[in-house]
Amino acid sequence: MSEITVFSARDIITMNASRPHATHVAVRDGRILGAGSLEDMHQWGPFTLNDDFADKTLVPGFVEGHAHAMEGGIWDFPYIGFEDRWDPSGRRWEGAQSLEAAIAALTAAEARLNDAETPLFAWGFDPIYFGEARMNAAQLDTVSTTRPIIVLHSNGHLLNVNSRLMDMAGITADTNVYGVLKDDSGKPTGELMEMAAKYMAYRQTGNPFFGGIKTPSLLRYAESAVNCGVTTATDLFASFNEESLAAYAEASKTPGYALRLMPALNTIEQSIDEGIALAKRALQDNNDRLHHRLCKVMTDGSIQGFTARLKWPGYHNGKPNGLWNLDPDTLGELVLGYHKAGLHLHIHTNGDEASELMLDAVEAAQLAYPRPDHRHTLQHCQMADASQFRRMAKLGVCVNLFANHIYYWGDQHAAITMGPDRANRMDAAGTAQREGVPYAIHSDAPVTPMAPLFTAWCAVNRQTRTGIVLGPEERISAEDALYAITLGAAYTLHMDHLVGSIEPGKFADFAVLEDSPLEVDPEAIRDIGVWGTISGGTPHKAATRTG
Amino acid sequence: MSDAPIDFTVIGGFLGSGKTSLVNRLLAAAGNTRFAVLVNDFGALNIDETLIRHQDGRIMQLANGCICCSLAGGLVDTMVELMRYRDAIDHILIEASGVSYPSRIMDFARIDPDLRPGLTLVLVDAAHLQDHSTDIRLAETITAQMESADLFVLTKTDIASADMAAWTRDWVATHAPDAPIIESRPDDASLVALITDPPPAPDPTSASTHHHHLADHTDLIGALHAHFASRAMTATKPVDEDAFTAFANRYSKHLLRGKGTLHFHRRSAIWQQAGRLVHLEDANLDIDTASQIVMISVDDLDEAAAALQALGFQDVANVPVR
Ligand SMILES: [Zn+2]
Repeated sequence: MSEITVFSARDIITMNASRPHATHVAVRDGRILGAGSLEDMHQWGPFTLNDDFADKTLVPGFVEGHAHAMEGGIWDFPYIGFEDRWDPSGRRWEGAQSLEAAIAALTAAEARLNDAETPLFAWGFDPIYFGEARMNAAQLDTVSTTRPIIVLHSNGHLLNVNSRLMDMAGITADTNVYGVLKDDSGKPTGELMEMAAKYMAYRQTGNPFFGGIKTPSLLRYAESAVNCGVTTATDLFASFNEESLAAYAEASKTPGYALRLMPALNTIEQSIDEGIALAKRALQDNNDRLHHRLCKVMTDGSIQGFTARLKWPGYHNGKPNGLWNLDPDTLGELVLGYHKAGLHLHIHTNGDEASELMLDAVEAAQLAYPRPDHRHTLQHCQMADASQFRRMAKLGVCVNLFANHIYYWGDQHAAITMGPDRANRMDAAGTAQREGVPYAIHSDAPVTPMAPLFTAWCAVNRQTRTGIVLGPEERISAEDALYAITLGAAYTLHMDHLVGSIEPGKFADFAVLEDSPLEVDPEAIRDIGVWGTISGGTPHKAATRTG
Repeated sequence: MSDAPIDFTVIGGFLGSGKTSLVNRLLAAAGNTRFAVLVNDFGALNIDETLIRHQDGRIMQLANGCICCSLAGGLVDTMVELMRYRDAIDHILIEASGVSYPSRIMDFARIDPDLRPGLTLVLVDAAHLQDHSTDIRLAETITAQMESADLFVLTKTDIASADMAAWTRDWVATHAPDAPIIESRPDDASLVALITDPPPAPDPTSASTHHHHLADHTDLIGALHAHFASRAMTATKPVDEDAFTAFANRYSKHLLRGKGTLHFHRRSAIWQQAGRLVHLEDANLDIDTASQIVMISVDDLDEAAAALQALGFQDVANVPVR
C-alpha cells in the first residue's frame, strides 16, 4: 500500500457541497482519500502529516478553461504592454505606460541580441492610453536601423515596423494598399494592419508565432500555471500536427509536470472527417496529465477589432458588422459533424449574432443526433443577451465568459464598440447564474495574464481600468466566482469527475493561497498571494517574483 | 532566382457557386503553367492520388508542376510559406472563402512586387443569391464582395428559374454597375482560357514562331471565344507611351485582360493588364521589334481597336476573332 500524506491548512474550501470546509486532506497515489478534521484522517491508517501549509488556505486547483500554451513560449520575445506582467520564471516585465517607455524597453531588448540583423519581435503593445500618440518607424529606428523590428499590438490587429523592415518589404510613399497607414506628408508611418500588409512584413522575417507547439513552451506553460494556482488548463486552439501531438505527449509525461493539459483541436485546419479522425486518434495519448477530446471552432472575430458579428443595432460607433470566420453553413456542418462524432466542442463566439448562429447549429445537431450531456461550450460569448442564455440552458450548452475583458477593455466597450447599455451586459455571469447556465470565466492568456483570482475579481467587481463598475447587476458573489474558476470550469471541460473540487477519488490538485477568497474584501480577491499548487499530491512552489 | 512576377488571381463567390469546379478544371488544364492554388478545403479538390508527387504539411506538389495549398493556417502564413517556393510557381490562384473580401486578398499582389495583380472573378450562384443576399447574416458581406470584381460569372442558371436568373443579374448589375457579367458553367473552358496566360501576340516578322504559337493556343483561343472577344494588334513604329497609358486606363473597364510587348520612343515595356490594374514594366527588346498586343473583353473591341489604330496599331489578320 502506498503512503498517505495528510496536508493541514487554516481552511480547506472543498467546493464539495456535502463537506464545504475542512482543515485536513488525505492524499494517496496522487488522489484525494478524503477531507475533514485531523481526527477524521486517522481512519485511513498511518500517514505523514505535512504542516507546511498550516497557515494557508487550500482550494481546488484552479481550472483555466480558455488559455493558450503560447503563454509559455511567447516570453522568448520582449513584452511591452501597458501593465506590469510576470513571466513563468517570475521575472517582472515592467509595463510601458508611455511611448517613450515602450521604445526604451525595445532598446534594452535590442541590446541583448548579438548580431546586427536578427529580427526583433515584441508583443503586447497597447497604446490605447497614450491618447493620440502613435508609434512610428522613426521611433523604432532609434532602436535599430540594421535589423527588422515588428511590434505586435495587444489587440492582435496592428503591427508597428521600423524603416529597415519597410526597406526590405519595399513599402514606400508609393505603396497604395489598404492597411499601410501614412502620415500627412504621405509617408508610411510603419503602422500596418490587414492581411496584405502583415504578409509583407512576415515575408521578410518569418512569423515566429506560427506553427505548432513545442515541448519547452508546454513546460513553461505549466510553470506559469503554478504561479497562479492553476492545475488544469486548456490549450484552446491547437494544431494537431505530428510535432505538436508528440510535444503534448512528451510534456505530459515529463516527471514533475504540474499541469493537466487539455489541447483543443483547431477544427478548420483540415476537413471535418480528417479532423474527427485526428481528434479520435489523439485520445490514445491520453494520460492523467493529458486530456484530448476538445475541439475548437472559431465563429467570428473580436469586439475591439470590430470583427465580431453583432445583431442589430451593430457597433455603437457605426462601424460595419464584423467577419464570419467561415461561411455560416460550413460552421453549422462543423458543429453537426463533431457533435455526431461524440467530441466536445468549444466554440468561439464574441458577438451576439455569432452566439445565435452557434446556438442554432447546436440545436440542429441535437435534433438530428440527440446527445445527452454534450456540454458544448460557447467561449467568450461576450455579448449574449438573456434570451440566448435561456436557450443555452435548454440546449445543455455551457458558457465560458471572458471576464478579464471587463477590466482591460470595458471602458472602450462602453464608449466605442457597444455603447453604455449593451456594455453593461458584457460577459454576463450574473445572467448565466440566474438562467442556470453552467459557466466558467477565463483569461485567454496570453491575451491577458493567466490568474484566476484576478478573473474572479473581475466577475465579482466588474470594474474597468478607469474604475467604473460596468453592469453591477451582472456581478456575482465571491462563492460563485470561486466555483466558476474551479468546479464550474471543470464542468465545461467534462472534467468535473476528476478535478474542480476536493472530494474523495479526485486528483489531489490544490491551489495554495495566502488568504481565503471567501473571507477577504471582494475588492481584494485579486491581491491574494498564491504560494503555488499541489498537483497530484506534489507541492509546486510559485516562482519568486523578481525585477 | 527568377525575376518575373507571379500572376495572382482571386476567385471569389459564395459557398456553392462553383469555385472548386473551376479550380479543378484549371488544375487539369494547366498545361505549361505551374499553378499554385490555395483552397479552403483540400478534400474537395479532385486530385488523383497517383498525381501527388510530394506532400509536406499543408502543401501538395502535383506531377504536372502545380501546387495545392490549404488555407487552413490562414492566408497570411500560408502565403509566407508558399513564397518560399516562388521559383516553382508561375501563377497563384486563391479560392477566396465565401465570407472573405476579394479586394483585401488582391492587396497581396498590390503590395508584393513579386506578385502581379491579375483578375478578380466572382462566381454567383444564380439559384441562391436571392436567399443569401436577403439573409441578414450574409447580406452585408455579399454586398461588400460585389465591389471588387473584374468579372461576374453567373453559375447554375440551368437550375435557376428564368425569373430568378434575371433577378440575380439585375441585383449584381445594380451593386456592381461597372463590372461585366457573363452566364457560364463554373468549369467552362473559356474561363480557363481567360485566367490562363493569354497567348502572346504573333510576331509578324517571324513566321515560324508565329505558327508555333498559334498551334499551341488555337484551342485556348477557340474556348475563350465562347464568352469573350479577343483582338491582336501590332505596330511597327514606336508608340507614344503617354498616349498608350491613357488608352489603357480609359478602356480598363472594357479590358478583362491585356498583354503585349510595347516599343515606346524611349523604352520598351511589357504590358499586363487585368481588369482595372494597368501594369507596365521595363523590357529590353531589340530596337526594331514591333509592338504586339492582345486584348480580351466581354464586349467587342471595335472602339478600343479604333483608339489603338490612332496610335499606329493595326489588326493582326490571322488571329481568329469572334
Ligand atoms: Zn483564445
